[in-house]
Order: sequence, then structure tokens, then C-alpha cells
Amino acid sequence: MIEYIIFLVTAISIFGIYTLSLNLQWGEAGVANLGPIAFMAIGGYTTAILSIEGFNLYMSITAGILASSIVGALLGYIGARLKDEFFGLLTLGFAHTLYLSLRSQNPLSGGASGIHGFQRPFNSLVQSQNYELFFMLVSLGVLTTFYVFLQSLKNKSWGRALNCLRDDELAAKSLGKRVKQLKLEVMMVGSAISGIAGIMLIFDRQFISPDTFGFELTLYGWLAMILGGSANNKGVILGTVVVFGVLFSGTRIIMSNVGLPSYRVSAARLLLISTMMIILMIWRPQGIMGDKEVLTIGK
Amino acid sequence: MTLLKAKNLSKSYNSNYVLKNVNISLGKGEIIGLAGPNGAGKTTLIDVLSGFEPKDSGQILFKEEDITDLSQQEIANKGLVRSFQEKRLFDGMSVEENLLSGAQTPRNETLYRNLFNKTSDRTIKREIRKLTKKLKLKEVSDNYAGNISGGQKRITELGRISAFEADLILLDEPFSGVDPNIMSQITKIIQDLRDSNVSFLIAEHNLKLLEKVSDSIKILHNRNFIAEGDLNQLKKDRQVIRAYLGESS
Repeated sequence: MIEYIIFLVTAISIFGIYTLSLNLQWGEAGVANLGPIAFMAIGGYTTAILSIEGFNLYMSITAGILASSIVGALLGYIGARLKDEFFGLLTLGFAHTLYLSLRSQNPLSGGASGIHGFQRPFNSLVQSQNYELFFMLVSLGVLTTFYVFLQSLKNKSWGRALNCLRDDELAAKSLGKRVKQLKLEVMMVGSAISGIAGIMLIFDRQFISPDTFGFELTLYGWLAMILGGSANNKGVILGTVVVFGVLFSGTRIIMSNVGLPSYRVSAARLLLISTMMIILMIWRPQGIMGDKEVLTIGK
Repeated sequence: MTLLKAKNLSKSYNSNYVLKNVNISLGKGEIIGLAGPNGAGKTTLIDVLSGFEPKDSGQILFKEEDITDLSQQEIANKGLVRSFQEKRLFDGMSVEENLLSGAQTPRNETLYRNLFNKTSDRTIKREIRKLTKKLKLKEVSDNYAGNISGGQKRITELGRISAFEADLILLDEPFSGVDPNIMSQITKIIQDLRDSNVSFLIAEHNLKLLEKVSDSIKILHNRNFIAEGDLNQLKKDRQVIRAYLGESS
């Protein structure tokens, strides 16, 4: 049981970091990144590949964060010149292209079978039987740090400029807001944070493959954010607990215990998620902790 | 001193000219009223001057600098800002945050300065609190801007522009759809800003109000200005009567 709780808390913390990054982009700035999972994958793969190739682990982690951030900035640069809906399509297409490239047989990514055997941080300092507990505490610590960091940015002039962009881009331009640069910056910061979540995920799983970053994680991330309440960091974490905790991990265990075969568990999980989304749209379109005035679905 | 000088401005949509060879100049602290029938091109002129619509030809000089090909943001940051006909507030932000967003300079909004705490909002927050009180918005300052009354929205919008510290403000029908009380509040805001040497170009149909706040009124019709003067002069102008005021005026 303890092992399961450790697994669940670690997973929720990692995906909490991921949804917080998505919330920074969509909830605060209105930038519709439909391929956030790609930036988790870039962080994870860069770190795993460099580490396997013999680079220092901490240098590999830094490179992973930088790589996701640079690619995010690049997409932000292009996206700032596109209409919102096309930017969404650009990120969606990018994520899928990356997924297919990683799946193709190549010596770097290991194709569909992925990479394993890379080091985990502080492995030599922590006894192996305590490592999962240690990593859970690290994950919780990183989640808390990002929560505090993003809350503080929310109340600063950069955060307010992002909100202007989200609420009315035309009015923001009339007040001299640097719309293109803000989009680039929010993609850069958000992608770096997603990259960190991706790096933590591969250390948690001790394995990386294209399916570690499957498209369903993009849907789960968006669902967690909308369910909890876009633009509300507390709500987003609550949404992550519900979606990734109850559905992503909880149902897997519960349904396995009632004897459902794995392919049915997966289908039942998707059914539950869709039902939840429909109920949410009818009952509380702004999400559990969200405000009706901010990014309400169908408003 | 001439603040704005636009020469030979032309703008067409699908080869139909809305503005043709329009010339306009505005001095520091001057207020010009802009009137004319619906579809005369008042909003288009504001759009072109503020960079929101590309012009076909012509040149715009602001503070003796050529701003003809600058983007909306660049023009705003030079000190030329505008309002829109429909109220455009940041609805998901509070009234106070809306006003703050007007007072923030791009320099204060850079990621670097915010990440490394190289900027402080303390002074502007204090100023905005004073402004909120002055604009009689104190009671709703924490409310979402999307939830306040239409009149309060208009005042917030003007307050946001006044916090920007612009040199020239282009207002597109600021008095439309508001009660007399709000109208006099808007008039007061415009007059206060003019006292601090801010210039205005105000597009408006309410000629009495326009007469009250502006130094002169220009009538736009058939792609160009057809008359200029005070309300009494305009009421006697045959061309203005035919095109805009009507024979019964």
C-alpha cells in the first residue's frame, strides 16, 4: 500500500508540474498549446540520450531543460505570427511529428522500444530501498516550488501583461503590449517547466519510450486544467489529483482488482474521462475552482 | 507645437475609398472633435492613425517622427493610444488590474526584470489606488471588469488610457450608451487630461458634448473633411446640413 501511495504521489506531483506549465500558457496567456507533451518528451529524451552517451547526468538534465525551452521559444516565435487556431494546429502537428520520429527506428531514440539503463540523480547518496520515497519528496518539492514561482509571477507586471493578452489581444496591442514577445516568452518558460516534468517522469519510470509521452497525456493535461479551473493554479493541481490520481492511476488499480482485462481498463478509463468532461461542461464550465469570468468554456 | 501631422492619407476597401487624401494636424493639448454620418470613415481614420489598419498611401508624423509604417504596439509606446467603439476591457482581470495594465510600461513587463525582481509595482499600485478613488471606482476595484456596469466599464477604459500617460488619445464614440452622470464624468476626465497637455481626437455623434470638450469640430463626409469650426458655424453650413445634420436642425 505504501509503495502504491508513493507511486501515486510521485506521479501526481510530476503531472502537476506539467499541468501548471500548461496553465501558464493557456490559463494565464491564452496561448493554446495543443502539444505540451512534446516538450516533456524533448526534456526526457535529451536527458536520457546524453546520459546514456556518457555525459554527466546533471549536465544532461540542464541540456534537457534548455532543449525544451529553446524548441518552445522557436515554436512561440513562429506561433506569434499565426492566428490562435493555427498555432494550436502547429503545436498539435509538431507533437505528433515528434512522436512518429521517436517511434521510427533510429540509434538515438531507440525507436518504439525506447531507452533504459540511464542513471537517476543522487543515486549514490540515497539507499536504493529508500529511493522511491526520496524521489517522491523531491517531486513534491519541485511541484511546490513551481506553484510558488508561478503564483508570484501571476501578481507581477509580466503576469498581468499575459492576462491582457489572454482577455483581449487587440486591446493589449492598443496599450503597447509586446504581444509577439510575450507569446514567445510564455512558450519558452512553459516548455522549460514541461521539460522538467518530462525529465522527472523518466527518472520515475527508469525507462523512456515514445509511448511514455503518448497523445492521451495531452488530453489528460488539458482535462485536468479545465476540470480544476483554468488560470487558477490551486484548481489546476486539484484537477491533476482528480484526473491523474483517480482516473490515470486509481482506476487502473480498481479495475484490475475487479478483474477487467487491460484493454477494457484502458477503454473504461477513456469513457470515464469523456463522461466527466460532458458533466463538467454542463454543471460547471469554469471548472471546480475556476471563475466564470476567466476562460469559461462556451462563454 | 504640432504633435500629429497626417498628410494625404488614403484608405480603401475593395477599391472603394473610405478616406482620400485626408490631411489632419493636432497641436499639443488640442482637442479636435470628429463627426460625420455613419460610414463616413471616422473609425477608419482612427484605425489608420493608430496603426490598426494599413493605409493605402500618405504619411503620419507624430512628435516629428515618421510613424507611418510602425506597428500598433510601437505607435502606442510612442504615446499615441486609442479606445474602441465597443468597450474592450480585460474581462478576466479586476478593475484595478485593468488600470494597472495601462500604467505598466513594456520595460516593466520584460520576463528578465520580473524573474530577477528588478521591477517594483509599489509606486504604480499607489498611483492606481488614487486613480480608482478619483474615478469613483473604489467600490468595484476588486470586481471582475466583465461584471461591472456599462458606464463603469467606459470609465475604467478611459482610466486605463489615462494611466498610460499618452500624449495623444484617439477616442471612438466615448459617450455612446452611457447615462448623463457618466457623460459628465467622462467630460471631466478629458478636461483633466487636457490640463496636463494631453491632446485628443474624439469621434462622436453627440455634437453638444463634442462642442463642450473640443476646440473645434471637423466633419468627415465623402472620404474627406467637408467643414471645420464650432457648432454654430457648422449648423449654418449648407454642406454639413445636407450631409449630416438634416434640414430640420
